[in-house]
Amino acid sequence: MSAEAALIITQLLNGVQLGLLLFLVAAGLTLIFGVLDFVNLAHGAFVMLGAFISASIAGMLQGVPGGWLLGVVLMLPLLALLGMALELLLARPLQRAGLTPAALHLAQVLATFGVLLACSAVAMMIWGTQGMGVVLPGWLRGQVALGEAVQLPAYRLFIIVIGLMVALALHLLLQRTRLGMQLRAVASNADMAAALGAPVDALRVAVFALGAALAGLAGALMVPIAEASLGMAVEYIIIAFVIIIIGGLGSLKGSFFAALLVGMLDTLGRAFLDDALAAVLPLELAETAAPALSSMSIYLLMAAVLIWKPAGLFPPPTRGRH
Amino acid sequence: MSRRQDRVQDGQPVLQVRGVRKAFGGLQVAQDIDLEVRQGTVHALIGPNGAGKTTLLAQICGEIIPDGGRILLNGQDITTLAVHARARLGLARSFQITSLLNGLSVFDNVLLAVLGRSASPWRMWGNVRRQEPFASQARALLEEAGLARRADDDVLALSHGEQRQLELVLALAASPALLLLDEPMAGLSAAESAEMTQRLMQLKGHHAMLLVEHDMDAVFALADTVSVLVNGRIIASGPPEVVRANAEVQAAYLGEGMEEQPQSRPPA
Repeated sequence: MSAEAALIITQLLNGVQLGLLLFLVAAGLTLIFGVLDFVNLAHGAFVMLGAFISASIAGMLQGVPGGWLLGVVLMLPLLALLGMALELLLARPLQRAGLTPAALHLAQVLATFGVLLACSAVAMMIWGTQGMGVVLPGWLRGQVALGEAVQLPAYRLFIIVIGLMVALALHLLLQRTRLGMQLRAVASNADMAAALGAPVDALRVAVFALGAALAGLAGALMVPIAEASLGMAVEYIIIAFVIIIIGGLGSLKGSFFAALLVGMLDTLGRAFLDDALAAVLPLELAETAAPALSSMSIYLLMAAVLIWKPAGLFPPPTRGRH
Repeated sequence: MSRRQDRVQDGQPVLQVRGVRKAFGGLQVAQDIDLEVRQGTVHALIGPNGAGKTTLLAQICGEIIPDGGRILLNGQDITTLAVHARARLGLARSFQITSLLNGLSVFDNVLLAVLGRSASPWRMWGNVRRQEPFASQARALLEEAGLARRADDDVLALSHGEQRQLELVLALAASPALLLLDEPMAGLSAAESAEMTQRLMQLKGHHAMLLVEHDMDAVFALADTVSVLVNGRIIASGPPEVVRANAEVQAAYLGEGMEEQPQSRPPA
């Protein structure tokens, strides 16, 4: 295999890895929006808190075998509790305030943005402005050889495996289980689902718990690559919204493919755009244009998709509310 | 007529509404409402638009909580219970506008209705579409309604008639003690409306029904008891013939021509 081919394969795998990480962020957001019609900007705060909390636990358990993994696993129920609190203390009172649908969405945006800012302030008081890293266990630190020329860091492969497992589990949960069927019923028409006996209030709490835990997982998995930092909260809420808009608001399948698309575009843009531009533009111009273009690329993709398909790639069926 | 009359006092009361009051600001939408639906009978609730029929139904099924009074289902006080809890106790309703779970298949709609009353949602393992006895019950209900061949279609692909039929299947799926029917004839042609009346006739005796309907042919064909709601008050209640003859009812609601339809119907 030529060196070029190996480089391209490596970058493709990096794109898949980034895409699956972004899917974990977007999945919780699209689930909460799709099932409950709730716009949750606080989702970004959950990503950041998942990162800091898992890193803190791992720090306390330094030297204990499996400490890092334990930090990730113990963080999940804490984030689920935060999600439940957000539903009970904020989402539910707003839902019952008797607002029109448009006013309700605006109220959700304002209230959850407040929660995002408050979480950032609290995180700064607890963890400070410095980033926070973790020590990975040995089995995740090495390289894994795929074929002769392609080598991938074991941790990136680990993220790919976890991302695919979560995607499969969510798919089975929604399509095959009793809980998933009732969640899809609530997404379609909450009043009707309640009339058929679905416990809508309990399901709302469960969706918030699941969404927050998924965001926390994404945050925790980012720490070994980029450290836990305060900036994560805002950075990932924006990119997650780009993804769920491209995929179709409320569609899990849509957010999966949109996240892969965004991850791939971002990675390949950074890796190859300067060379590609140099082929058609003067070298100097290409070298200035490439970084600017690649940081804009996902927004250009979103604009292009919205022109082509205004409801996103896989819009969910129309809601039947009345 | 006489056969129906005999049965009026037969059953135990399934639904009892006692002194229910509700006001929105200064507007009294329910004033000391008393109403009873007995086992195996149809109780029709009629009245002009804005009389408070839909608000009363909403209080019975739990979307609105009354300011005062009590609502009992099979003797159990359900006045403040949540919608889904009432559904589990055997209260089923059909909506004024056709209400199905769009985006889900016909089979999934029925399966949800079958699961709804008895099954906890938290069972995570196993394919829900193969869980017995629910899956077989759902298949049997579709078979019975003649919708089996549409089982895998999205409900949006059904015709209007098929959708109303499916809606009734959903309401009946949990073999409810009480069926609340909110204008089941709305939007149906004369022929479809007669067909629906026939179907409700067949169900009569198996389920207690509270029927809100503008179609007087259907009301007088089906009802054992008719209550007339005007401005949030029940001004008359009794066997259809008696209510039909009541002078106050005629003045307040039915107008001079009893046989005239209060609501015009689209042609077949």
